[in-house]
Amino acid sequence: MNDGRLRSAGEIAFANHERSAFAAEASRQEIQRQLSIMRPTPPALSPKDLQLRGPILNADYGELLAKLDSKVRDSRIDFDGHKVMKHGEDGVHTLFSLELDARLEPIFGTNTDFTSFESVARPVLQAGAEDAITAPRRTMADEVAGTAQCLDKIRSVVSFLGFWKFGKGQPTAVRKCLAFYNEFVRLIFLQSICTWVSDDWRLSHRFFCSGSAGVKANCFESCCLSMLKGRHFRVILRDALSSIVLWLVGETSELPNPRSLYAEWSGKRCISPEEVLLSRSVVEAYLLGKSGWEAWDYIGTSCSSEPPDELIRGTWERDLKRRFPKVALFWSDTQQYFLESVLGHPGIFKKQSEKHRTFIEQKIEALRQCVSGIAALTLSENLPPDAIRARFRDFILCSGEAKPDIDELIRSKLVAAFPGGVFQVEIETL
Amino acid sequence: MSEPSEEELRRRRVAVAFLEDEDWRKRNRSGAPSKKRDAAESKKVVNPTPLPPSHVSHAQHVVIAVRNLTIGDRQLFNGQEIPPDLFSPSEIDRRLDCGDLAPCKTRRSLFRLLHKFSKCSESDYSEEHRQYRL
Repeated sequence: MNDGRLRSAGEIAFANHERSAFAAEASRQEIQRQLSIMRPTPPALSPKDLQLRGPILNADYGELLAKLDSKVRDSRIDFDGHKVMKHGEDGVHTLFSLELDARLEPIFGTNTDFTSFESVARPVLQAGAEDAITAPRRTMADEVAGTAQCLDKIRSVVSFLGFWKFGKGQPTAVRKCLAFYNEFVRLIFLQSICTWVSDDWRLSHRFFCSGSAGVKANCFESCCLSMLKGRHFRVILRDALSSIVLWLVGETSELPNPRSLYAEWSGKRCISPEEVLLSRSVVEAYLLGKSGWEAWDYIGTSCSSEPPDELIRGTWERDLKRRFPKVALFWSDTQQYFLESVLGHPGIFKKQSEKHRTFIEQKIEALRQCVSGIAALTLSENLPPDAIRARFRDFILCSGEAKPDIDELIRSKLVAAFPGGVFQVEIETL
Repeated sequence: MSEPSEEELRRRRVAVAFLEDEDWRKRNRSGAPSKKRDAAESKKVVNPTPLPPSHVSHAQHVVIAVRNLTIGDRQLFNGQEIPPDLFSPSEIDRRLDCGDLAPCKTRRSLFRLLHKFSKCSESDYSEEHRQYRL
């Protein structure tokens, strides 16, 4: 600017004027830019305006299902007492061997109680496992701006459910502790069944009639199905969550087989059951609108192990986005109904992500219960009375022999209720 | 014979107590009782006479092996919980005194928690029982 010569007062005044004109223009542009950011692109909508697809149900569906549930509640499941006790006693031996195995880890002492989360978490934390959690901490900038609050929740470990997050720091200790605790919970559940059965090892309970799901339903599925007396079969509603979400978003692409999907992602030929579970969890996380560290948390909790790095890099997410583009659109569209005005300003909104997610997940859960109810009603129409012994959210337990075409019948009923939906119904003889 | 005086009676009572109570005699051999000497003597006791088993209750805590042991055909590893019905109370006391076993108040007994399958006569309940019951 200054070429070494002295400038006249006029030149200096002109330069100052030019500079202030530039500053005014830059300031005006910045204000416009900020206003355009603050201006909400979507209109202000309420969750009440959100119209999601619903199933086509008969008018008396609720009444029929309530009657069926009441009948299932009164029916009794026959257990083989000898098998139950044998399984329990063997389980206790296994539990003690798992405990001894875990106690060999140098971080645990003889005082460690492997049934208590606090007792186990203390030595693991002292060994520095928290620092090794893959999910990052919130940065100082995040804390000042009040953003990325979900990272705190994702990093927190408050029970054995999230204990896998310490797996990067103490892989062997965490694996052994979780193996022990899972076996312990299974035995506690089995012991609870022993306290409820009658003298002739028959059991009726509301747990078996309300579309139950979760840890207890998994315990029943994993350990009790092999202890039933007499001939039984179960109708499995495979990948019901994925089918429901794809139907809800109007996606017509068929759900890929988790095994082949994982083979495609990893390039492997031999796929283990754990990898199938991982693949299924990845798809579910995507369909539930989770990405990044939220997906990492969901998948890790489903599989009780650290998800692979490919997930963090987003390789699989990109593939799923390509396969099911409507899912991402659905989540972004429905987000517009969950915006909150900031500081009472009519033009500035903040996303209510948690509320949005809860609303959609509740809707999905209701639809899954509906799938279970329709399948159970179809079975009750086509099987002898009292054949249905238990109705869970993801499978229905029946006594006797399965009809050869019952799965097709259930599928057709489900498609009638959910037009355009693709459902997988499997029959498993026990 | 005249009746003994008060002073004489007191001296006789002391003499009887002297003969009956060996411990009292030891403590008073050099005159009046001393708290300092009592404390010093109690520290010297290495192996006190074991209390009768009825005085010790193991119902509230777990007894664990503090070293690898082989008892009969059963092997117990360091840190392993002793089944509550494996030993008689007196045997547990003896092994506690020997240092083979140790009480552990921070652990819950797996035998008691899973009493249906472990055939343990005692039972215990935990948060998991409430959480994972039917």
